[in-house]
Amino acid sequence: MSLLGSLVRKVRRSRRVKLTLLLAPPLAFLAIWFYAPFIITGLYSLDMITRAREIVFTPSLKYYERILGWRSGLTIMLRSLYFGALTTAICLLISYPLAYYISFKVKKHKDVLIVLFIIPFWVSFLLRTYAFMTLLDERSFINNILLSLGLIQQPLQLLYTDVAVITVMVYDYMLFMVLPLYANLEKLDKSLLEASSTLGAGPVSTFFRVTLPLSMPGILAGSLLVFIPAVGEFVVPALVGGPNNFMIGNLIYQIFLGARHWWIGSALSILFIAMILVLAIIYLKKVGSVGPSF
Amino acid sequence: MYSVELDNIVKRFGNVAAVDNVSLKIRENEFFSLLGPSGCGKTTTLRIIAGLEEPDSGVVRLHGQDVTDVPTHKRNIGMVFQHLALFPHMNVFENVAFGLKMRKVPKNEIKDRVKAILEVVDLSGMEARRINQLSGGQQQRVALARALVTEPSVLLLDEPLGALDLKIRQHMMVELKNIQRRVGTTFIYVTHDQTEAMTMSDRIAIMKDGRLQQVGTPTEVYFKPMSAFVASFIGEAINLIRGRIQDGILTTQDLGQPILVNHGENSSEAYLAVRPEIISIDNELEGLDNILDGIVRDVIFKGSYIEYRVEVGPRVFVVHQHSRALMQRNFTVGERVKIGWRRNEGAIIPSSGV
Amino acid sequence: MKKTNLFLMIFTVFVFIFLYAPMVIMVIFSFNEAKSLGVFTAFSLKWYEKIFTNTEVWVALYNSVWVGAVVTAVSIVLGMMMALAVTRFSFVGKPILDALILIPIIIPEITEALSLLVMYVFLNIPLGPLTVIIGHAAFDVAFVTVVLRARMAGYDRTVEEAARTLGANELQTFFRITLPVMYPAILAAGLLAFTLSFDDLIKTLFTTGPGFKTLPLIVWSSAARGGVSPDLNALSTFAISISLLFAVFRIRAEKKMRGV
Repeated sequence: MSLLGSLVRKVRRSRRVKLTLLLAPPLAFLAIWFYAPFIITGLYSLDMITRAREIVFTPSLKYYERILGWRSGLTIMLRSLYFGALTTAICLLISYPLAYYISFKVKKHKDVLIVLFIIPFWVSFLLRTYAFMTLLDERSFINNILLSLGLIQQPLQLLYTDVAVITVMVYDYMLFMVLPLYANLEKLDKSLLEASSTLGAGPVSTFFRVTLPLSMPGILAGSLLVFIPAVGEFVVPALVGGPNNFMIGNLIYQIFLGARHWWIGSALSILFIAMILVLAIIYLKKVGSVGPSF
Repeated sequence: MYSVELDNIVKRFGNVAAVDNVSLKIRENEFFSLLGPSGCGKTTTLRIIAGLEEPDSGVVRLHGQDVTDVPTHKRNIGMVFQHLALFPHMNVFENVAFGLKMRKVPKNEIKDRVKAILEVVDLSGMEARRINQLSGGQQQRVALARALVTEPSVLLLDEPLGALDLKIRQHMMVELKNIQRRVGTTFIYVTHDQTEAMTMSDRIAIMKDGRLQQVGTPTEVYFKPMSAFVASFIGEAINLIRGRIQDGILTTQDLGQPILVNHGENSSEAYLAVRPEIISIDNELEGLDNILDGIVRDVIFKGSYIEYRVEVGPRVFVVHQHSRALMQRNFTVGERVKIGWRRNEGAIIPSSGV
Repeated sequence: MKKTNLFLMIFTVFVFIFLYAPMVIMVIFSFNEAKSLGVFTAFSLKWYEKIFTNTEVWVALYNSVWVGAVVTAVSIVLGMMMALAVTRFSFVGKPILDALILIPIIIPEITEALSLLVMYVFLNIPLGPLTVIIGHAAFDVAFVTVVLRARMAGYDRTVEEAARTLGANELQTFFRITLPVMYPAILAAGLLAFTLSFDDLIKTLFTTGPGFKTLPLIVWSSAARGGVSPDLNALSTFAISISLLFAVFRIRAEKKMRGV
């Protein structure tokens, strides 16, 4: 065995070399096209990029200060959190009974029901939102029926309201609540419920003392999966809401492409991302890993 | 020339030495087993022979040639894996033909050789079957055919029967031995099951904690264990008596009388190992070198034999007697008996094996 | 007890109506003769005729498909490399890598899209199909990695060792064993990547250049401009049928994978 030959073989069989070859291209791609943009956004938010697109090394927090002292901006941020929380709560209230029913009460064709539930979510987010617009429109089929039945005198103004924004978000995001809940309830050992009832607990106390506590991981997972995208929602308020129902996503959009103030827009983006990441980290610490379940 | 030689092989995983200075010489056309409890390093040793693991130090030789740095695919070996590792996307023919294709054998020849080897393993006409259409035993045979068709110089088998149920396993043991005789290749067989190793092997290597304990024929390792570990690992039960050996006499505090053993080295500390079936039991015994008085404490009927536990002073001896003896005489719990054996029927475990 | 069950059943039925009604009504009214969204007068294909004779729709469909195809290819290759690295090697910093892969999935899409736009403008990169493809792929790579990795976790690597003992070198093993065995998982991940790209609105909206439109962009701009209209119903119905078709392919690929 020549020394050179065995060296070449060592390199060829070296796991480190292989690992580097495998990891370098995807990581470089992510670094350049996913992470670098955020760094540039960060530089803008710290006032380190001038109008002439030159980098200056005099960071300043003035845009963050400006945002925090900006009333209508803060109103919109708070509204986003509020809308996000409300959407999550309503999703939970609708999804829990549904998941509970399918998991506990349905005997045959459970899978069919779940697939039937998932099918509408195969349709893209935008198209689902648009489809819901056709119901909310004042010339819509529903308004027409209500009018002809004489239940209302004038067509209901449903579009461009808070109700519309929340309803459509619930419609769009329900999947993310139902799937983790259902997976959790399915895993739950049903004999625990029987054990509870043999110990003298009625169905109500069994539910509140056994089922509900055991399904907390599912509830938490679903809540995070709904809350994070809901807070950052952009399409729904833009299509079925008006300026009075705008959320943080719409605000960022307005500042960037309407006002063209990239510095404030960047600061707002960074604040928003930080908020989401903090939420996600708190969640991951509490619950463990999130697996996208579809 | 030896088929496989291992010289001082060491392989560490982290701080644990999975294989600790193992040297072996495996002969041509030998059915050789590596036997030991899980985690003893037997599979790692096999994988080092295959080139699937690189030893930290030591040399691997196949037919006298140093292959330590040769990658797996150039070693001309065959291997049957624990979970078979049949290619799920190929049918029986494609699975078996794979190794020949890699060796660029002409198409016609591939056909003939696959056909021939499928006959050997008794799977003729199954070429087009998909893997998941086969029974466990058939899959086993496909794996074997796939590994044998390239006519490897050594066939490595990593607990290939582990997944099968008992009946098929017993059948496959006989089958494997027959196939080995027919193809005339060195088989190296890894198992934790001593029955498999005993049934098929010409020689057995027993491993523990990465070290070789003993290499020998099945009868050697059974009747002449070289360490306390081998003695208790092999076989169902063994009586181990610890004591001092001087001029063919073992003295121990447990027993009131000296025990006669084979003449050999003197040793201040050694074991005498006596298999239960070697010991005779009766009310009166004569003509044996060692005869002890005892009381029967347990009688367990095991089918082809009976197990007696006989108390002798503070010790309990396990004695096996052929069931046929039941026709004449059986002993009951509490009965006074004598047990005995000849001095040359016990094995002395040297102090190095204690 | 019986009453609760009945209540739950009725509740479930209502949820299903809630889920399906918007799309069913939209599909029905896309076949309406009249322009009305409230009264169905007669069956007609005229709105379909209108959209299918509109070259802008065809161009957008073509753009969506080829962008989706390129994005799929890029994200499968890169995602596969990453998934292989993560599942087959142990190295320090794996938790960091996990986080780097997970972050693109968690971060709100709009901030991602706008940041990318900021960088494009900052670096003077002209906006167009290429910038759209990059935008989609940057996200899809992470997604494909997560999906492939979950699938690879159950993959038995001894088939590769078996191939090595039979004389296959590393490349032969990869192309004849690894890829074919993983093919259904790759197909499923690929279809998912394609769907993500095909349906994407936000990143396309911010990273596209003048004149380059995809199907979701057309739906978006006419819905944002003019609200609900029958021809948009027809276009959406058409797009929905494409989405469903792909979903069926994906499910089939996954079923096939489980069969192996």
